[in-house]
Amino acid sequence: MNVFLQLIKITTSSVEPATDEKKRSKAFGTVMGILIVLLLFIPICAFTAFMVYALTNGIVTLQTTNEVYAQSKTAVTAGLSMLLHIVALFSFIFGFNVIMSVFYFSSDLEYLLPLPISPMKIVGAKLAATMLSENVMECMLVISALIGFMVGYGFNPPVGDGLNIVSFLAMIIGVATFPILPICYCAIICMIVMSVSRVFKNKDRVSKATQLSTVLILLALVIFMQMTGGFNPDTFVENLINGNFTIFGVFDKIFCTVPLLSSALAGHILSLLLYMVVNAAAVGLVLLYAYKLYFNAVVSLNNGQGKAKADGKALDLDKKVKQSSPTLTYLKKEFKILFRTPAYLMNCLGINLIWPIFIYLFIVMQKQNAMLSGFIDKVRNGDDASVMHLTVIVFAISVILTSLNCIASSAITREGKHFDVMRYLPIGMMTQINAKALVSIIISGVGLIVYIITAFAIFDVSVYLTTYSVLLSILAVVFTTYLGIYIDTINPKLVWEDELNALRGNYHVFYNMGLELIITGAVCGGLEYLRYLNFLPVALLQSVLLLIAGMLCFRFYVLCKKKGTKNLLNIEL
Amino acid sequence: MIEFKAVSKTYNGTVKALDNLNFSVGEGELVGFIGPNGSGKTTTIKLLSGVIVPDKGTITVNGFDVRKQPLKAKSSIGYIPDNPDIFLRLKGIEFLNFIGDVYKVPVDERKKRIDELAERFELTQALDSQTLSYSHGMRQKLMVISALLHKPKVWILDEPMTGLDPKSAFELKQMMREHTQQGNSVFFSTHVLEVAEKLCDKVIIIKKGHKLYDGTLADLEKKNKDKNLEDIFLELTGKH
Repeated sequence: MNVFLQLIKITTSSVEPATDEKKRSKAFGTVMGILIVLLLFIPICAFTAFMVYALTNGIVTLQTTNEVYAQSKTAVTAGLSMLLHIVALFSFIFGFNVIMSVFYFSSDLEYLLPLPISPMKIVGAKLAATMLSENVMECMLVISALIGFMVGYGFNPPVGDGLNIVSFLAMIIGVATFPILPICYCAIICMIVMSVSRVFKNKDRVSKATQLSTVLILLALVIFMQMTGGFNPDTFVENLINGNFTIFGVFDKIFCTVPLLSSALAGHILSLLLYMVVNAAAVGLVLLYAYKLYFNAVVSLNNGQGKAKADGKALDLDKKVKQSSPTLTYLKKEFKILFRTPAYLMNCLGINLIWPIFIYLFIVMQKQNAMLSGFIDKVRNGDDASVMHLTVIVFAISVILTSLNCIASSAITREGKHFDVMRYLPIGMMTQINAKALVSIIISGVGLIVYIITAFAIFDVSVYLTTYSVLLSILAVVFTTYLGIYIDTINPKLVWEDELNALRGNYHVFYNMGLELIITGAVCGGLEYLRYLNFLPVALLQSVLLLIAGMLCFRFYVLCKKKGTKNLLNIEL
Repeated sequence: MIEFKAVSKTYNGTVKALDNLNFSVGEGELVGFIGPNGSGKTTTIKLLSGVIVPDKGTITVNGFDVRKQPLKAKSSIGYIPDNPDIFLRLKGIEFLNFIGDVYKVPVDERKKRIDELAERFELTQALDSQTLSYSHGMRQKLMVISALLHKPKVWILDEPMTGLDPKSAFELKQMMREHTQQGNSVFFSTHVLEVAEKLCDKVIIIKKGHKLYDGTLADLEKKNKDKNLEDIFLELTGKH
């Protein structure tokens, strides 16, 4: 048992983000942590709780007014079940990456495999570590959903028996164990695939395939949800009780712990016992598969390239050796590493291609284009409010998407253990920062420019507004990039297990996003308010926004030059 | 070529890695830097290469102050770090091109040097593969080639023989000698006393950030008659 606990400790430390050691960094981390909790976590949790409360309340009201529904004792948990299904689904989708990373790619395997420890213990510890790393946000969502349910249903509801001791027991057990089943599914699928397919003996291929499947599952889900019909708020609660959403029926079977937990929350002890049995069986199954399949698959993995050919063709140096300036060569190096590392390819580059597809699916397939086309018509006709809205949307989207690809906010972190190269090469720190910034600006900027020009051309928006939006977008990308890099210089996470961990376990990505959201919210909100007051003509407000964006670029560039370079030189190695 | 004057370095304000260290490496000198684990060897080498900065003291390389003229000082150095796992997603030739561009090595000279050094270290056929696929020894050879590409005045090598096969180790030792014969300097850390004995003009022995000995091995052996180098080293560093 002691060995098992030690294993969990070792594995968890490789999954969790690094904590800041320095006082200054600690203080910065604390402030940013509080801001993120206030601006991101609390609103998300409040929204979740409210949604479950509203649905539960709606169901209870419907049950009191309609006798048909009053017969159904479990119907009251339909809203809660829906949210738990969503949480379970996201655990399942994003669990693949984490499982692959923790089970097969983490560098601790090199030390663990030669030790006389059974595969069941290793996999058990790794499963626990995955669960812990995945559980923070899920816990918060589940707790919020449960609070929403408790408030909506209560102790003395007009229908049903209300909450009892079993409900509270189910809440505690549910919060602690909810992600077990989806994560176990991921673990079992990963172990089977890794053991049967020869294609997946190469780490790079596995990584690309895992990330591609995540995108495909997400896409399939969006398409499936659109095909099953849009959500009509007027009939939503009724449809939910009647089980008219086929997708949740399917999910009830796949994530069978959700209806069991929901039923247990409604006070049924048998459901609670069954919930625990199913979770225990899932873990048992994972351990059984681990015993049979894990070792063989993990030892036959090779790195991305196989072995270098010692008898390969001699190089044509005339073709291969070319001169570039130090900045350009640094830029090329950054691009090559981003494109050739699967985790960066997907998370830093792929994300720029994926979001337009999702936006397209949401906007076009929802058949709610009346609002969109009305808005575009108003923009074309020069309606002040709509033009201002569009300007603000372009600015906000440019900022959000640049921070979302985290090229800038992980620019220093990606150097990892060979960060010292930045120090010993005879290139100025600011030159290196500029090269890194240029990568983010090119990748984010080119994508945004293409999308803006294409969308505006489709909607026949004026050339003036298109040109303005492109310029505004570029400035937004530049300021977001330099702010992202500056934040990463403060205390980059230079020790990571694999490249995915450099991105996922990097608080700077969140800090950066939080700060940028605050700045964007303040700027856009202020300008929208001024427009609302008719304080200045819209054309002038647009110029003010351009000026502010330009000033932000300058401010954060100078911050990188004066303080960012110093931060990089002061990092203790 | 290398001047280390009254240099001190403390980590996190508590761990004193170097305490008032002084030494110099002249033109044409091949100097071995020896000491037990945790003695401050890597700290000294990182200070020389500009990876970390001293709390006190001055370091000059090829006449350039490492803190005041860092880029000029770094341009004079060919540095081989203790870990060769750098930019593993780049191909060998891409890494060499990157280093060649950073150190502004002209194309013709670069081709000639890559051709000559890769041949010498038997790495020519592997240069078109990503270094991720290289063995530790191959990566170490690539680091050696990259450090020598711009014909630096000063070579600073941290445990350069680690992972090299006997032939490559022999080649590297040969090259170190040739380099100093051309009036340049070589400063390298090692645990292998035999390497220092056979190769170095002088050795610097360090323990807990303090210099214990700075001179030729012949002088050291004269002072400690009837003792072999290993015994002298162990006695100096307090293991006996």
